[in-house]
Amino acid sequence: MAEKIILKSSDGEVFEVEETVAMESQTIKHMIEDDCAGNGIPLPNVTSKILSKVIEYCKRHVEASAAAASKYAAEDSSSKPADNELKAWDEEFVRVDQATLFDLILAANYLNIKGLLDLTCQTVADMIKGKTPEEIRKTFNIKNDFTPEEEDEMKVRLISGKSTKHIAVVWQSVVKATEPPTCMRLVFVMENGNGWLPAVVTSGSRASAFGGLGEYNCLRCCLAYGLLR
Amino acid sequence: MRTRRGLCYPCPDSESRSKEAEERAGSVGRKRSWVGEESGRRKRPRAATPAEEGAAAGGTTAESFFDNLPDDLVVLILSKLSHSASSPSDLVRILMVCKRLNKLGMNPLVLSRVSAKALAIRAKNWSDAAHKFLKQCADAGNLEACYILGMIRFYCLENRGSGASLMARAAIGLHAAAMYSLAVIQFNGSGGSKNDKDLRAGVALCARAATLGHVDALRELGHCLQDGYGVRQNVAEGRRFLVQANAQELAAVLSSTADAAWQAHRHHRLSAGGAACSLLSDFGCNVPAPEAHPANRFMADWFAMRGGAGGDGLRMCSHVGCGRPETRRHEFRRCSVCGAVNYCSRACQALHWKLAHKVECAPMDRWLDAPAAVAAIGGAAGGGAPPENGTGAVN
Repeated sequence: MAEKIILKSSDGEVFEVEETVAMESQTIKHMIEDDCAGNGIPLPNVTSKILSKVIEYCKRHVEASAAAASKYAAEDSSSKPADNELKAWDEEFVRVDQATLFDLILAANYLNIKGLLDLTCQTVADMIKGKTPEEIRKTFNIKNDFTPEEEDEMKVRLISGKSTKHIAVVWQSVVKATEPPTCMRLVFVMENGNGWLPAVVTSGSRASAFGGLGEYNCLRCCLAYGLLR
Repeated sequence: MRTRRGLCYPCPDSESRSKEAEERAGSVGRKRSWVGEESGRRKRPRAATPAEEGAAAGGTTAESFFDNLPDDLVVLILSKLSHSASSPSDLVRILMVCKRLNKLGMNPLVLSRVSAKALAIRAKNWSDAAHKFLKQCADAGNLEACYILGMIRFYCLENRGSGASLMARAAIGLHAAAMYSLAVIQFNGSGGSKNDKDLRAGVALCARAATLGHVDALRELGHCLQDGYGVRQNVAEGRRFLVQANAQELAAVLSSTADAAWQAHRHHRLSAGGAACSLLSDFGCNVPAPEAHPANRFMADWFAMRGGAGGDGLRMCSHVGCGRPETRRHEFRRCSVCGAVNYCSRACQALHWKLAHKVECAPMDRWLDAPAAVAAIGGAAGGGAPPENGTGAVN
């Protein structure tokens, strides 16, 4: 009794699915309702590998909602184990390589399948969470298009809300006096509303390497130059 | 909907061809282990991605998958990230990855979904940047940010108008804590004179917050009904609300993952004997004290750093978890038995009574009235509420 819908992937493979499964996708649902599904639905943006995974997802979720509906009708209150099972299945489903994951995101967006889109985007978000910027760049192979100066500017702004211009000038003057090692690049100070917190140095060097000028004296220099506050 | 590379959706065939051309023109020293798969490329163009191979071989022509996603999908991913963020650094880190993520990370859709934990700023980290960030989140429609910024501006930065309007915005969005805070402001006439007190408005706000299940509002409403404060007196209704407040708190504790901690706490209480947090004490059920909201913790830290509530002998609410300061002299009401502590609201008074004050409250001026004082304290313990002078006495 269930009607079969024909889906054609971009590389010519043909998939036959039940109508209920195909209707998980809002895009396909609208096509069916508008009566464009006669000869099969071409999907030029989805390859067969991804389409088969999407169909697998839709099938599983249609089964789960059918089971839940029948349980509701039978007034069975124990739906927790089924929910956990589905969650576990979903977790296993998205355990794929990055290429497939991002393709699934694009396919779910194109086919307008909210559940799959939420699941895949949340997976990527979880991959990002908890990593440092460098780790994120490595994981997703993102190119760092900030210049070192822009990066420092951002760090300072994020912490203190002040620009690096004044601070860099002060440091230059300090450098001449004390000949610091070349690994240091920048010193910036943080204001905490009550006064000054000790200077923080980027590039992983300690302020004590400043040729004897400790953190407190750096701050006094800053204030003396009148460039901060 | 265009991506950075100018394509709407990557067309599989043309992309595989362009990638192959890229590779041939590219580095010489790269591993070509997947060359054999080239014939299979036409069928499955994404199978062996140059990005993964490039990363393994250190090639610089590799591409990131993020480049292929249109902006609205990246915004969706980032909004899920902000919603599940557990600290502000989660968000800061994504802003530093690259320029595109920096721009999209500040998109209002992402900011409006920032979770409460990521907005939990500490008073020692307060800066213009933090202020600006909270403001951007509040402008994007983040209710939690509206509430936190409203509290900070009202009490710490003493900008009453802006603070109150921000809290009002959160309250309109059905943020229970914001409604309750506005109710406290109305009850005390904070930011204005004694005549600016509006008890009925306070009760109305408390009622709204109570329907959302806010424990402090339920307690406050219960006391108002019992005393006929701003609303017609109805002792039975009031008692019902107080019981409901206790039940709500118990339910919250049971449903949270702090269940194990509570069990441990109970054992500790039996052994320590006396220094316990007791709620529902008249029913003999001990529940750990609720965790302070980040806004309250911020205020408590802020004023602790400044050594008090500000000039002119202004006091803080004696319930440490509240953190509210007075905005004019003698704004808060004090315990009528000992007179040594004062509170911004009756909910704070009730909570502090059960947490600490019950054991230390002792009538200071009534040495002669010892039996009466004992009776008062005994009566209070039975009713689960501290002794009080009704609606009156500020001093």
